[in-house]
Amino acid sequence: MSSLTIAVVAEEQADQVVIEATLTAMVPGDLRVLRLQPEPTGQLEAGPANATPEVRPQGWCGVFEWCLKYRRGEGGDLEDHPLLTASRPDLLILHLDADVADAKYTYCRKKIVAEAAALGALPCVDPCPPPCPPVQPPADALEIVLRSWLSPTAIGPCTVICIPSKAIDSWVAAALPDDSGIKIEGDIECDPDMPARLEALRGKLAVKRKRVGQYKHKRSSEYRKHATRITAEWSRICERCSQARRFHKDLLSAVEYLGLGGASSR
Amino acid sequence: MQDYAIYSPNTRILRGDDPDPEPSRPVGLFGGRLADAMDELMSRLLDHDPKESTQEQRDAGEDLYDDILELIDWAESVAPETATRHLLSPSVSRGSRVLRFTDRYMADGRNQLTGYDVNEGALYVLFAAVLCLSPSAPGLLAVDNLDQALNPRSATRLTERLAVWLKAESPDRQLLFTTHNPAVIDGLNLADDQIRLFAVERNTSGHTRCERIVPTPELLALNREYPLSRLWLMGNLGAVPNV
Repeated sequence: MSSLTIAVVAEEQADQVVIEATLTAMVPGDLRVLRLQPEPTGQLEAGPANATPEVRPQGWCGVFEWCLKYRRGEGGDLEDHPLLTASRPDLLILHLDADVADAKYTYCRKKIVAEAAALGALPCVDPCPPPCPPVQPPADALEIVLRSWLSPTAIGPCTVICIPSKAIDSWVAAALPDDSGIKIEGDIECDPDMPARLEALRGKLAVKRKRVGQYKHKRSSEYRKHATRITAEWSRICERCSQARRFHKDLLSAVEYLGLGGASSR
Repeated sequence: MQDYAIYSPNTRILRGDDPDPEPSRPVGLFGGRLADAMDELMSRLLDHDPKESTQEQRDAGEDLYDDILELIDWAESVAPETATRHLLSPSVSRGSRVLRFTDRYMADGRNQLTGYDVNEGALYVLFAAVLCLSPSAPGLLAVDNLDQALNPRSATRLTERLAVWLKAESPDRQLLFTTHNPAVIDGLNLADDQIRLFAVERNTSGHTRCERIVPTPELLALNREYPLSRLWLMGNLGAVPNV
């Protein structure tokens, strides 16, 4: 199988690291992975209170901003967008963590808030879907919102939506060795405290976060420590996380659509 | 104006291939002594005495080290070491230490690179980090062409970090730098009044003029559509030659 080019629109650098590790597990051979980001517009405006010092659009607000940039009035498939013609990715992955369903547009910079008002779409559909568990309703609601950000541009067969629940940390947790000592209460995909549980692990298993003001943010290097394990334990992650299974299935379908085959179906 | 320095980093000197004609601490004006300065910086950030430091201080040090490392995405770690541990040609001039990088993609046992081998962008990142984070750096410092050898996205990210590093470790230190790379100004958070951008250009009489790019409502509206880098390239910020 020839080497694929996969473009990824992820919330954070740390999410990109985890997604790349899963791609390595699912698609054999070397991959060319591109991280797509929106241009850093609107930097002259003061950011929201919880913003990181970075100027670039951050987190799910960055994914939202990217989608607005790629939305086309005439519709068509996202993968046919002229901006993607130069790099010609075989596959496109759009990532959002499921906990974005509980977020608000006011968390983003003013420019985005204004765009959201014009769109009339909210991450948490009114009325909100039932809280996790079950995992599916909030993730489905979020996927509808993600599609609305691009509409009328459609998501074609080579675009895969990746919505880990509640966040990609559950995939890191699911890959941990049995003796890791992580304390998970209830459904691994519904635990809102997973980042704190990962941070509390001992030694090199810990996934520390960096403090910016009163908020804590992901450190990509901490997720990178687990990348090899995530690749090796992907089948186990899929066993434990329904959204990982869904991502795996959708990715295989997209690879099949390309007519390349050969992706791991474990 | 007694405690200031103007730096003009040079790749061969950053690597340690050539001696710095203007040696200084923490680094020479041309980038000499980088490995020693990184050693001192890393000791300060990471080697806290557990009895004398709080967890918060230790975490803050790790966060800053991580910030630096995030800018060199292929590097798993950076660790200055004594020069004698490395097989180097006798023709290579060397300081007391060399920078050792661990490449995350290379096989174990063959994944060690020194400052003599790595891409120069990594060295410029470390150089900027040292100047922002070392207590011995001058209170007022300037860097000519800070963006040298950096990929555009790296240049934006490094610029973002400069303000964070200065505010975290040296809030009274002032950094001036020049750039010819549009990607750099995309990393400036001009909503913060402490971060300022100036267009330096010549008028029709040939006089050099320096004008602050103020975030006026008009510019703010433009910036909603265009990043600063594009506004600069389109000539809307000035500071472009008549070519």
